[in-house]
Amino acid sequence: MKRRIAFVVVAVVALALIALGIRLGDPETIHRFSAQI
Amino acid sequence: MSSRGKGLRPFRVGQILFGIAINAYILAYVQHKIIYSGILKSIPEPILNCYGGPLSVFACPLGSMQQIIGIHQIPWLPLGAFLLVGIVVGRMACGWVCPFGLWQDLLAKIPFRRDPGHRLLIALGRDPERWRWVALGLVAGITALIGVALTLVLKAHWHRIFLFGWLPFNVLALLIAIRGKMDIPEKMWLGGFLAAIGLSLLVWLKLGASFGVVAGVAAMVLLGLTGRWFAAVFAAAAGLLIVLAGPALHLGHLSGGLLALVVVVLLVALVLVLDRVVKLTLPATYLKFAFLLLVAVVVAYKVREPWFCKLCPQGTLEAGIPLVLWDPQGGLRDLVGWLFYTKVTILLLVVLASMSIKRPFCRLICPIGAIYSVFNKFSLLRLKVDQTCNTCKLCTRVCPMDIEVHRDANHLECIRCLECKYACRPNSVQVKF
Repeated sequence: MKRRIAFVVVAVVALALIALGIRLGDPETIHRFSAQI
Repeated sequence: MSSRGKGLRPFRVGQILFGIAINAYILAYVQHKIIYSGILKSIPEPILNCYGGPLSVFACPLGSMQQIIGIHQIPWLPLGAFLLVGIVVGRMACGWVCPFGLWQDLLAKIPFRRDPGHRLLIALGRDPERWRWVALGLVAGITALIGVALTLVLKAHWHRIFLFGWLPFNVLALLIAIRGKMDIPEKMWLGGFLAAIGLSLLVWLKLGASFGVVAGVAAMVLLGLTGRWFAAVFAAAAGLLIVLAGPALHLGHLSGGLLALVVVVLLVALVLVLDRVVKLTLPATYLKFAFLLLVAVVVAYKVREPWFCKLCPQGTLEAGIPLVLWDPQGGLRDLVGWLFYTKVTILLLVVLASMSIKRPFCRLICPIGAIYSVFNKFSLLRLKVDQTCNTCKLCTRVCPMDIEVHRDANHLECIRCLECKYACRPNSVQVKF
């Protein structure tokens, strides 16, 4: 049960980080570097 | 197909399909574009796959993370993606998705006579343990001669040849000579590891950040894994050479020979106290955490460049070499210099090591593997060995990461390929959610 709770908490944190990254423009930054040599 | 048959395993099918899917930009060759630059390059994939490769469709998460750290921002998106993948499946992506994992698995299938020197010595009635050190001396002597030859032929600075040609070559040679058979040692020695960091900082001060990072990467593997007497002697000799060669270095009132003496004494004392007296060790596989924290985070922040990418053997294989050979728009070949040859040397070492050691890059170096490994103990997907296990150790023999599955089914190194599950005759290995 503890492991399930930990999983839910970490998964929510992970999704929040991804959302924050998208909002702060990480995809554009990543594209800027990854689409050039 | 029986679950214990010899057919293509599901993880192998996954490796092949994902490898093709994330490297599917064949238009690069049709349209003579160097790399794909569409919208998908904004999305990090879950494993190591160089975004500089001409066929690459997505972004490498480690490269993305270093680039964002390099502009002094927090890599929220790559961190969240690592966290999400890790908490759901642990290190499964390393086993099912990573093309460089597949590359190492295939290299391991090449027939390679393990330890012929060992057998020869036994046939001659000699003690292999004693003669191993003779082999080490021979290897060091031969590679030193190669270094001298390269210095004369290429007319390069001898200390650069030493650091970037001779030193990495010896990493592999030492593994053969000291271990007797090709396998990674169980421990890394803290004294040798710290001496490597010290040497790296010295090179950084003397020759600049780029040479410092390269020297540090090579020395962390070489001295971290060998430790004790060899690391002490090697660190002392290297420290002496580094201080005396190249531009002058002053630390307070110390310079020249006096500084060299201080450096040598400090390095020898550090290694011998920690490795011979205190005997502080960690599992050798923890070395990849050092690569993650020191090279992929600290160096990226300090130098503002993705130095792990610059040395990554996967990048050399799928981006560096193809781009230089193909060079559709011209000009790339002119950029080839010492860094390219260093990358190729590292790739060659990984290729050679992979022919006899199971997944050496994944176990010792890969920072992404280091991140995912932390989640193995509490991820949603887990392995469990039940009470029917008869400790036959067949699981360990088939494991591509050399794990004793019957002892710790969710070991940090487990890539959840499920080879153990297929091999287990009592069917004791279970997948749980």
